[in-house]
Amino acid sequence: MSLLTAVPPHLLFLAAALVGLLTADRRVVAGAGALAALVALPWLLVVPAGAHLPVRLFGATPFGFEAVLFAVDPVARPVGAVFALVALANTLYAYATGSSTRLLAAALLYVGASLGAVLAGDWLTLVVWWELMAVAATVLLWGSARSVRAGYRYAVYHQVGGVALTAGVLLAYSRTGTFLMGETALAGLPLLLVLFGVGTNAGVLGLHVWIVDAYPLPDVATTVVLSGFTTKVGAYTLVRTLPEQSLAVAYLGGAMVLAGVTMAVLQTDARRLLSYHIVSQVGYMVAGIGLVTAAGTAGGLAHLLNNVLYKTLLFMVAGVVVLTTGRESLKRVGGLARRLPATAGAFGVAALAIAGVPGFSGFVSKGLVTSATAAAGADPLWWLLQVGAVGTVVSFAKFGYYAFLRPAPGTDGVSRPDPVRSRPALLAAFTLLAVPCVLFGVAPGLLVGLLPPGASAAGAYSVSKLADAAVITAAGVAGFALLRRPLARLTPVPELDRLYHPLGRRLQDGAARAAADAGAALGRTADRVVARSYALASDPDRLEEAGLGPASIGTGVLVLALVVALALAALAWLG
Amino acid sequence: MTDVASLLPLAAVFLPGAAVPAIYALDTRPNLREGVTFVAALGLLGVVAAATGPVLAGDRLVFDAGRFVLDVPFALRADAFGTMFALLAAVLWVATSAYSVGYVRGLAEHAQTRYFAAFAASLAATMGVAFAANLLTLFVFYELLTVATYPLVTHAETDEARAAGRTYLAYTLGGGVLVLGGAVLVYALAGTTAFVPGGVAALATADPLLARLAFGLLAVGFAVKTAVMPLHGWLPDAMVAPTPVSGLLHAVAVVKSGAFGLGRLAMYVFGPGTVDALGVGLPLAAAAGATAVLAGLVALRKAKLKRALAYSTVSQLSYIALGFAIDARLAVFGALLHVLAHAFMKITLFFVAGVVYVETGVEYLAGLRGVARRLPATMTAFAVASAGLAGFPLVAGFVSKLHLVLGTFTAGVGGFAVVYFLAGTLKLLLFWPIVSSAFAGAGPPVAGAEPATSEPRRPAAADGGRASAGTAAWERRHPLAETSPALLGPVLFTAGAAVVLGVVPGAVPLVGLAEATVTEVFGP
Repeated sequence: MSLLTAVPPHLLFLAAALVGLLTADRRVVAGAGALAALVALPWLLVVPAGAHLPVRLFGATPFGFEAVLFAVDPVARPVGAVFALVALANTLYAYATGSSTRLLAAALLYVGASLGAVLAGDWLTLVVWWELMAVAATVLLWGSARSVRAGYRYAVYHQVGGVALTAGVLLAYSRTGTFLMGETALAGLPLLLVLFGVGTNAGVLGLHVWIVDAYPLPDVATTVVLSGFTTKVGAYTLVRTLPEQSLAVAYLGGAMVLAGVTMAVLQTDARRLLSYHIVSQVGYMVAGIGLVTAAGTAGGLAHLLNNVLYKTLLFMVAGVVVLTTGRESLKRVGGLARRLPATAGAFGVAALAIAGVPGFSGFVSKGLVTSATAAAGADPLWWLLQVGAVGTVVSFAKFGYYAFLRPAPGTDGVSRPDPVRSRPALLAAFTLLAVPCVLFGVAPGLLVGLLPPGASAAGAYSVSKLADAAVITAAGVAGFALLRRPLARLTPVPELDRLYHPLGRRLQDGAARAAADAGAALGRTADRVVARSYALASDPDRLEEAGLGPASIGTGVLVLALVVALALAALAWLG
Repeated sequence: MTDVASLLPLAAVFLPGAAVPAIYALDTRPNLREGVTFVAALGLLGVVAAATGPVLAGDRLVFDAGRFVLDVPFALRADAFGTMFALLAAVLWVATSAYSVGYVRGLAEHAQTRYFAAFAASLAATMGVAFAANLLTLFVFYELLTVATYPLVTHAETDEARAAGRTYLAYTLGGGVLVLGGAVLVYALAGTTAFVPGGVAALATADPLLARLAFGLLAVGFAVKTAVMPLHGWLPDAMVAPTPVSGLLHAVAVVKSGAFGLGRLAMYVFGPGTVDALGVGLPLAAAAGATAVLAGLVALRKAKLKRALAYSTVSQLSYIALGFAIDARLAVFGALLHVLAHAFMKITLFFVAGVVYVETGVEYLAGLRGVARRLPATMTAFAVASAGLAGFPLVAGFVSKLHLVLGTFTAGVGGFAVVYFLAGTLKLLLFWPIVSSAFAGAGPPVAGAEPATSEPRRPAAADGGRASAGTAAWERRHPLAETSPALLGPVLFTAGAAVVLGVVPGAVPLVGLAEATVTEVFGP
């Protein structure tokens, strides 16, 4: 065991989170977090592949379970490394936007738990980190008054997902006798349960409500931190979950792409728009991974890596817009390109990347997914992905136009004090994320080198791909030009939460009331039975009339007990 | 497995018993009086700890007082299962004693001598339950436990307390009668009432109808104290007792003596094979499963913290009852772990409820809004323990629930896993709003919330810095200066123990005893 495998790297983040509990100095906590990320990133890139730290959890033989706390393989390595990079940028951003030490600590705990889940070599360890992620996320949502209620719903959604995951994992264990990932192929009911749990975290269509419910509300740094990890860990775990070709899952991804992007186009709240793009973007990952071909998995993972980078950057940009203007709605901001040049630049890079414009990372990874789709012969899916790409261009043309390009609406005359506490930290965060967005675009070989085998950089800039991208971009920009006026008149679009939340509330209240009534009725019946049987023997009221109040009964009973005990002991001794 | 004659089991019963007259004798000198409690508690812990080593090594410590009735001896025998229960109660008595001093003095309670004396008597009876070598001896201590805890339930001497005490006696003594009936029937069928790992062989060949009747009597009798619905009525009412009583007795000693009885029944009287052959496990499992869910739901509608905790206790106890009813290796191990896990987690919650009451006078959930400013460490302990009850990892409840669920799957009754998951989710619905309201000061309306916070019990000058209603009114206190060390220490200890049990359970001797129990009954 070398120094690199003596402890798992996510402990660094947990240690940094601990620093946040011990000191009130923001600089110290941010420094500890940045240091953790700076050490974890190269560590994850060079650590030898394999199952490290095999342990028995919860007891020695024959009790307890085999577990692997730190497993590195070609799938986990790039995801872990990118998480570390994003964690560094997030820490800088949270510091720059004035996050409290408590928030910084919770964010580091959340990152540590996410990394722990990625590096877990067995399902039990995965479940532990999975649940901790949910805990840390709800603690993050407590950070601002606006999101506390959403935090409750977040907790409930993830409890349901976590229960499904845990049940599936335990059921699989009861059949195979092991939690180790390499040795368990999920099938049948366990597979369905695990898919439901993983799907909840990944925000699969129908289970995506918590994303758009919670992410637009909290403190801007909290949104940035949360947006990066939970859904990506879900998509990543899908790689571990799917045992064989299952086009159903891939098509579910296609549906997520289209539905997510459609809803996104209809939004005016900046962070809500981006939240719907999480659904759509994770759709690409699910589509690729759901093919369960080497090329599909590699493509899905490539999109995961790129997406964490540019989507985090987009949320950072949205956060700066919200902080600077005090407004969440794109309708009420504008003209920010001149006021916030660096932010506008960051937006430009990230938007071009997510829109799949050649020369940026999204183009490459989207291409890997569509090629894998075509290779698998899933033509309808290929079309879903391409149409979704047009929608992506539309919504980022919209975001860019409203926030940066059009002149400021008249109401924005108030000049607010600069909300950014540390501009160098903000610029560093932007740079850390923007550079790979460009680098992976111009040099696809770098990206492919990180991935498990199956992807090829050779066809990234083929003529047909470039032609597709040109058509998509043109269609998107034209689409926005056509749709801008009708979209501006749109009222907020209903979401499934209109159905879920009242239903859940009513279910809980109804069940609790029914149970309380049933419990009370049972209790009354039992009380009556007990009372009747005693009424024959004694009448406590009459006892009280005789001067035996409860106080004296108390002492009396105690004395009686002692006497009985002594008598019994004496009897026993003699007998 | 060798029986060794030893006085340690007797000493465990005798030591707290002897403290009772000493406490009464020192009625007028409270510091010395509490000194007796501490000496007895630490002495008891020492005695049980001294028994733990040999028991883990495979010895069984026996104290036989000779013939009791018929040819049943009055005997104490420290086996792994009994020692686990005794060690648990002894450890928590030490913590509760410190806490009790802080609590009754903080509130200037009346009749403190009676309180401490009855507490010691309850512990003596609990030790008897733990170490009883046969059903009849168990019955004697089981009844004594009821009697000894009665003065604690009626401590307040209000009408409400009297009524609760009457209900308490009626239920639990009635349950005791059923246990006696079952014990007699077992004796008639098998010619012995001794506890045999894996069950008394003669019961497997006895008349099935009578055997089922015996099981039914014993199971119902023990289910009363385990508060399996519909026999749970006494437990929520008994919450009128002072909080340390609710904590140690009504979350650990008394209720767990019921659960312990069910464990003895399922593993040492009838045994897994016989329970399976007679088909008596399923009705008990069904009742326990229904209770776990129903009580979890009822808890959501309670506005008073201690009431909500009481119903949560009812639900959690049925986790244990269900595990014993399934009566298979992993399920039983899970049940044993949950005896431990629930003890540490629930006593923490009751302790916290008491600290909140002593420091702020708040009894209702709605009054807890923002209270973490005033009681940061205390409410952190509350958050940890309640997360454990909901089954979150790194706290004891996760490990026990993991085994319980695996037990249902491996025993082929996976449907009961739904109970555990559903009940766990209900705990989240119960506790999340409380924790969130305490820490974030806002959130969804807490279940069954009362509109107003309760009035501080003591005058404003002594209300612990709570100037007026609302979150901002709580004075921010440093984590270690929030309450007296006698109150905070036990809270942190029990919460910390719950975490240790959740992270490295294998390192805790209590878990070693649970493992030894399972090995003894189900084989290695």
